[in-house]
Amino acid sequence: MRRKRFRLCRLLAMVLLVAAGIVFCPAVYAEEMDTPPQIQEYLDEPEISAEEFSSMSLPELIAALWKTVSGEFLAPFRLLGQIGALLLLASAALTFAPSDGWRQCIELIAVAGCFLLSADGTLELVGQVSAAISDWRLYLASFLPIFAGVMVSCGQSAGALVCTGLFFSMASLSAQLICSVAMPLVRAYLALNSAAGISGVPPLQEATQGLTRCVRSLLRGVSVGFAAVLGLQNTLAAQSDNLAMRAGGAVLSSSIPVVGAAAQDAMASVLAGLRVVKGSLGFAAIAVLAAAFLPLFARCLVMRLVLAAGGLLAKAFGLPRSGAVLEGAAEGAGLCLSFLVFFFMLVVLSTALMIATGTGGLFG
Amino acid sequence: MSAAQIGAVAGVAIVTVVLAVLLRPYSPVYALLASLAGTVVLLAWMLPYAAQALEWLENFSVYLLREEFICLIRAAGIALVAQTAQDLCKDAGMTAMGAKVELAGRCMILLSALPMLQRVVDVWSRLLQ
Repeated sequence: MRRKRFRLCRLLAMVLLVAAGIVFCPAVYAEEMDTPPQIQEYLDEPEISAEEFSSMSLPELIAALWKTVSGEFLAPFRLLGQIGALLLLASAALTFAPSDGWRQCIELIAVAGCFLLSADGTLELVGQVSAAISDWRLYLASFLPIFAGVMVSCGQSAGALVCTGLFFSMASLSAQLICSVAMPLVRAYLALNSAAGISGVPPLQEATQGLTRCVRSLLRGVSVGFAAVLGLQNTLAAQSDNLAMRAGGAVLSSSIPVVGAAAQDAMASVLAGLRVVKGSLGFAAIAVLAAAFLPLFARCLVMRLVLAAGGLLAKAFGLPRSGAVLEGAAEGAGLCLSFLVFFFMLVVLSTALMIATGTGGLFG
Repeated sequence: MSAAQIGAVAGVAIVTVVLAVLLRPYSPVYALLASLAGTVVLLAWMLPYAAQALEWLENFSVYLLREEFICLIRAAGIALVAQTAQDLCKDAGMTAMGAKVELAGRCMILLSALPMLQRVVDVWSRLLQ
């Protein structure tokens, strides 16, 4: 009897030590591990420090927000003003032009002017989208190992494998494809579109429209494929984890004769706490990404609307080729927006899926 | 511009046409000179009004580079002068001369737009790097 009790106490002590190790060891090792310099640089570059933020009054905060917003969004509207002025001058010059043959020469100058005005903004947008996606990939490289560790401590080993294996690979591959293939395609599209507008050759215009359709179809196919594979993998991993946890629970409660149920309850409460940590970590990551995503998303959207409005204005002024060039530039901004939203949703939905799965099933 | 001024322009044009038609059977050269004189008078009459419009449009050039504004206005001016000369050549029955004037006008417009087209090529090279 005494021997049985001693054995039982020893087993309980081992279980508690292992649980403590799972919870506390990452914190100890984190102090000893150095973060890679490029990741540390990323983490150290906030525009405002916590002390500055906490010392700001409400009017100062509103003024700082307005300064950020106006700096971001006044530039596209200034571009619209420039486009409008150019179109007005071109249509005035066309009124001096005596016949249709001369109108083509003057419209050539208007088309070149519209392209030059829109090119700087769209090029900058393409660069910003590429840089943002590269930064997010770097952020995921630092975040996912920590998240996977927390998932393992919640008993989701298969889920952690999906997180660090399939999800990270797919996110990295998507980022690489977008930066190396998709963005150069967008730049080629912008060049082709302007060449079509300047030359006025109909097959070239059809080629640019065909290129847009191809890119959009490819993006649609890839996003459906990724979503299906990731969703299926996460579901299967969650099922596997649930099964493992139930089996472990059954072994625990049946192998420890008297206090098996109490040990089971203790483990359940520890794991519930760890799941709260997992959920908080996941939502914090989504919040960080959303804070970086929203201004760039708004910038892409405003630029697209401004260029589309410029296209409509050009057609209203009787400059159809200039309108086609501006609408093509708007389409280019739309493609940048599509890739940005695709990558953001891939990361956010996968993270949300990993947070949501494995919430039941350990011991209930 | 008032209705009287439009009436005066129409009047000068009709007088010039009638004079040219009357002179043509006797002396085609004088008919051509009459047509040329009427054209010059009308252009000179219109220039102050065009200058006022250009001055108003120049207010919008602050939103653009000066180069684009100058390029557009220069192109319109070249087109106007070249078309006038081409029409006079056609009136005199010199269609080939008129075609060459048109060609010269288009070349001059292209030359004046060359700096802008060079910038377009520079942007293309940045896009396709």
